[in-house]
Amino acid sequence: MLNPKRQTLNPEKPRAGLRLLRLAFCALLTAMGYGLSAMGLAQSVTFGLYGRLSPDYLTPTVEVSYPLQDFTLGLQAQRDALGVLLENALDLGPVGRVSYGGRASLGFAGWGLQGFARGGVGPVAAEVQLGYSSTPPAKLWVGDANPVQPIAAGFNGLFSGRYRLSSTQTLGLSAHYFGLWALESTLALRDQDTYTFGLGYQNGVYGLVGWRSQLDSNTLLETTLRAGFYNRLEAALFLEELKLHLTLAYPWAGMLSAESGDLRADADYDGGWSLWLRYTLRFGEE
Amino acid sequence: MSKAIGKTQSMVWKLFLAFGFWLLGLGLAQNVSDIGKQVQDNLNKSPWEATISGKAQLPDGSLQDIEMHLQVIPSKNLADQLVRLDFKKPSSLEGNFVLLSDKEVWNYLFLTNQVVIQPRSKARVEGLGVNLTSLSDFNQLTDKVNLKLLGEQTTPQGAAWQISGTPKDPSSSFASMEILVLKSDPRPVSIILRDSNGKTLADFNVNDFKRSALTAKTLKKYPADAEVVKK
Repeated sequence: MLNPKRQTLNPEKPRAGLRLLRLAFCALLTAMGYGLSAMGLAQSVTFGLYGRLSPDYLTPTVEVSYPLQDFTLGLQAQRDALGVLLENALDLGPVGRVSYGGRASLGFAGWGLQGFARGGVGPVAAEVQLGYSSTPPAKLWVGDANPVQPIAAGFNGLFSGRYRLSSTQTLGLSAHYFGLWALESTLALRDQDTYTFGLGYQNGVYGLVGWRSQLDSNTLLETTLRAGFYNRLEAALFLEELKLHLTLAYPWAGMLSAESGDLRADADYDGGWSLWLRYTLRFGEE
Repeated sequence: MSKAIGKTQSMVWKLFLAFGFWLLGLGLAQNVSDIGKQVQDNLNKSPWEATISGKAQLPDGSLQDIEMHLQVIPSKNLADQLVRLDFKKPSSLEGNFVLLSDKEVWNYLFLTNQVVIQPRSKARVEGLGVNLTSLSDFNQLTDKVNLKLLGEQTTPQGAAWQISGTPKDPSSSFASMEILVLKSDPRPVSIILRDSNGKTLADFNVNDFKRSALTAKTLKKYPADAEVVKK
């Protein structure tokens, strides 16, 4: 079962001076995003608008991706927080790829640090993530607001690994601590379609079944159901020009996202509704 | 295990590069220039595909089964040329593919469901020390390999020319190669790579060669839910 304690992004009422400072900060960051994009220095700039009801919260968002020698530097900004991300990758051609990096966030609500490494080499894929934040990460970046799997303040970590037993069988194991411990093991069997079976523990035992199918040359559907003491249904539909993701959990929480080209919309429900609209400008691509 | 996979992969790329050497370098070799020209003309006529299969020897002496599916769209216009190599064996790489175009190298990684797109100038195969961009650099390839016609041989597919090649650079990943070229339909049917001691590093056959109506859209196809990473 989900943690009944819902996250709130900004429950306290800011004072007038503080509110003015936040607006100025946000305007500066937005201008910086526009400036970088105008100069053509950035790889991509994503402008967004995030709004939430109960508690009310409205903020523009800016994400900038900038190549820095072998690294990629990312900047994330919203009304009252700023994040910096640095990422690099070891490319092994057809054998695999491993990316690694770190992220730091600072805002009026607190601060956070995170390190990560993910990728695959040959038959093995893994992801490791370790972080600490003085406040729930959702308060430092709206993109971290996950109503289905919220991350609490303090230490958080994730490990997931997959091993290809054969060309058609893949074994998976994952564990995370987001304020609650969770464990999951899966076995994916691929024929024309891929069927996944698994067992997990999060507040209690649950079972997992998944199905992934290429419906036609341009349409791919993936569904996963977790049921038991933890309940979650995920469905993703990929069309040539449109990607749709739906996640529903019980106790009731949900996420719906739609992405087409450089436009993206995310709607969440966790006792309160939120909507995040984004548009990405890309540079240096044909 | 990843080391063994890397070695296997290195061997696969030796074959792929040898095949590239042969495809692109044969035409300018002095003593086999006629054969080279016939092969070049034949393979440049229209899009084609073939299966490359055989065994590669790992450093520990064990044999690794290798199978790849090769699809080629030739063109006089360099910008329209495409080569796609799909891995079938070993099972750990099954589902992965590499796509080479004039400007980019795409690596699709099945297990992480990622397409990594790199400019050709940056694309290198780790552990092999060879820039993949040389596959279509005609002058660079012919500078690197000496080719010689040894004679003729009979193969299950018919009479074939037997051609040997030695890289001019002694630090190359192989010391010699032997290629059989089908006479009736000038194209490679077999490739063997050897080290300086004459030990076979790879022994591959080219099977199921056929002309196909390949398009750039077909070759550039990857799963709709794959993450695209551009470098």
